[in-house]
Amino acid sequence: MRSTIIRFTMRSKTLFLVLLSGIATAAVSAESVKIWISSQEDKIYYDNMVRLYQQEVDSYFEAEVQAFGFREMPDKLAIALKTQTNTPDIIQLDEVFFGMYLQDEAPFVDLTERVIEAGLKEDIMPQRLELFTQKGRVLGLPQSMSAMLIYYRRDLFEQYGLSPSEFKTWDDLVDIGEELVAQNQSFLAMDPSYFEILLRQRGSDLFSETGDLLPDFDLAVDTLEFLGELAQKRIGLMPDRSSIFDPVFFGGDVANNEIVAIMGADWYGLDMIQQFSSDLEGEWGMMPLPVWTDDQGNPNSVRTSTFAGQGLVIYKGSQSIDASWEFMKFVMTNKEANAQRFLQGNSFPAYKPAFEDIRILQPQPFFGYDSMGQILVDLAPEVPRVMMNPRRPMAVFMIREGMLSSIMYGEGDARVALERFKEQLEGGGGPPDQN
Amino acid sequence: MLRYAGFLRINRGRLLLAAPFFLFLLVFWAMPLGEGLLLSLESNTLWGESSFVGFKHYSELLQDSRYWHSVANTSVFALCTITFSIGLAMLFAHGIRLSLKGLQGPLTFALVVPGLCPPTVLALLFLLVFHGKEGLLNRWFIEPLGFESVNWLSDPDFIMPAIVIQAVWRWTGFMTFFLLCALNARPRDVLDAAAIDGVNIWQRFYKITLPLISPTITFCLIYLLVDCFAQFAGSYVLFGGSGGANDAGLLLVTYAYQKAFVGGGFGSGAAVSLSILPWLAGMLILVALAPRYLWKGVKM
Repeated sequence: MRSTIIRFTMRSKTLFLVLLSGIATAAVSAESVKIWISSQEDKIYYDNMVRLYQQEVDSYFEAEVQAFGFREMPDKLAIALKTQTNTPDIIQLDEVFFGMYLQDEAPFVDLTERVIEAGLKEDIMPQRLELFTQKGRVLGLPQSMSAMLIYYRRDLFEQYGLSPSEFKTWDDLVDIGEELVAQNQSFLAMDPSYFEILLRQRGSDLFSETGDLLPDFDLAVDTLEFLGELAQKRIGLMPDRSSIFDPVFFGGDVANNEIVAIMGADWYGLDMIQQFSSDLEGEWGMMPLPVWTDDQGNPNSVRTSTFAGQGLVIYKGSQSIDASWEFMKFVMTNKEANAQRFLQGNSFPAYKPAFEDIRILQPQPFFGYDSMGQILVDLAPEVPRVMMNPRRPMAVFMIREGMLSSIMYGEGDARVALERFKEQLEGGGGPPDQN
Repeated sequence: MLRYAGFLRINRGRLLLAAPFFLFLLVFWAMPLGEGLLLSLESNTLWGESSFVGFKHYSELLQDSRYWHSVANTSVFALCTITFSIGLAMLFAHGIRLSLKGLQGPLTFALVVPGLCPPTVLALLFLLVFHGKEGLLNRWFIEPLGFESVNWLSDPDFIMPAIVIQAVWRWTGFMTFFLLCALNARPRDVLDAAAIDGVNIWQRFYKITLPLISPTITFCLIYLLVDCFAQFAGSYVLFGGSGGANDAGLLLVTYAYQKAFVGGGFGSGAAVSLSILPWLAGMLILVALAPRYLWKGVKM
């Protein structure tokens, strides 16, 4: 009898505990904000930010930060949104993939009012905020400035007697590059993304505001021809896998001193270069891009450009929109959050008040005590706008492998390649229409 | 009606045993296929309600030059992979049969290993094989032969050979194993009788061996054909979901992926995927019927 009572009591207790833990889990998970991040490095940052937010703002805030590969995340997101299953609340999305969701009603929360109320419309660099804006509605917050710089090897500059001040125009770069080629040395690592980057630096883009593809076609041809010429003259060197974004293989080219400089955005210098050439600490320097000139030799372009960069968006079907927004606002505006994003090698913030943070402006040993912060603050007003378009992801994708590299391998000429690219993207080969 | 009732009563046990198979077929084959077909008839809405658009995506494919390019690429890829894999497998199978008894097991196992390797792992390995100037293929074969090193993954002229090499390397061993089994199963008396009658080696191979092992060859062809048309993981790792320079390696499944995940058109992507069916079915019918015409009149 006694054992029966004990067994019954034990069972009751167990049942009670199971119920209690179930209720507790349900309560926590109901409030837990699910954040999808597109790199492991950024996950560490967001885990820290969740802790900081808990300490400074809301100790009851719960978040589950999940990291995926840069390419896998958009795939996973597309599936989640299509099936409405296991959807996240906050998504860290690259601007290139963001375009994919603009084909019709975007699945992201309209943040316009919240952005205005928080004063972010004035505080975020306008050209970056526009990046995540569709038809006047702000759908996301840009995390990075993504300003383009030239990262050069100090040791090789010294070896060849070069100085950053000599690279004022692209013509200067070609002249110096030819001299280096005579000494069997290529200057610049090439990447298909440079086409879009240089086009933007010259005041054009892949799309016009009204959605026309390659609005200044002749300029596009000239830009592609210029890049093809760089490669043909061996001033520019195509990496073995035709990309500077393949750290494993491109790192080998850098280590072998096959190139002297790389053109890359702030996040490229903060993250990728430091990863694949960590042993070259102190041997890197930074400088703005050379400018383009008109027929009289007068500068007619800005000293930087932009490419890619992450932003934060909130899924429209989220059950925690307010909590998600508060956290996002914190990450965007908190002084520590902005500084850490830069110091941990994520990106240079597009949030203007952060430009005054001494930690962001301090010289960096990895870049031979150049101050990336100071250079980027100076260049910030010159960062061009990116014309967002639903066809942009496919255009970037097709350029990456299909077009520029073929010019460099002597397949056809730039005009024909661009005409074919235009025809394919405007025809059935591009992104499908929505009907 | 009564007849059916009688059939069910008599065969209840058999039907019960076969039920899990049909349930599996329904859940994992028929339902996804049906779902895919429905998806291909819907608008490309990435989020929210889709509308019925009929065969619009299919008719768009007919006008799409990249689609036809991917069809041509996939056909070339399949043809080359099958030709080289089966040809080499036949040679290896004969080679193994001629080798020492003790070596046959280890040799067969070594050849089968690549086929057991997951395609993603294999593709990662091939990144090293094809890697620019320093790649194993360039270092060990191309440069020692006096040729200039090839950028296998970027030069449009070498992209298709690269993916064919990868597929041939993966499947040749597996096909060797099947063909070896088939060769070993040939009736000895038929071959001996032919030898006594003075039939030469080539005639014995073409008139006796090939017809005898043709069911195995047909199986190998079907296996490779399906794998070639479904090829994705390998080229995804090598080219990051693109078709490589000039779309030189754009395969049908890669294009379906691009349509759905880069272009944001799941309907169009599903249409590309399902459009593979008639191509594949046509080729499979050809493969299945080929032995009947090749060895017409040969009775075994």
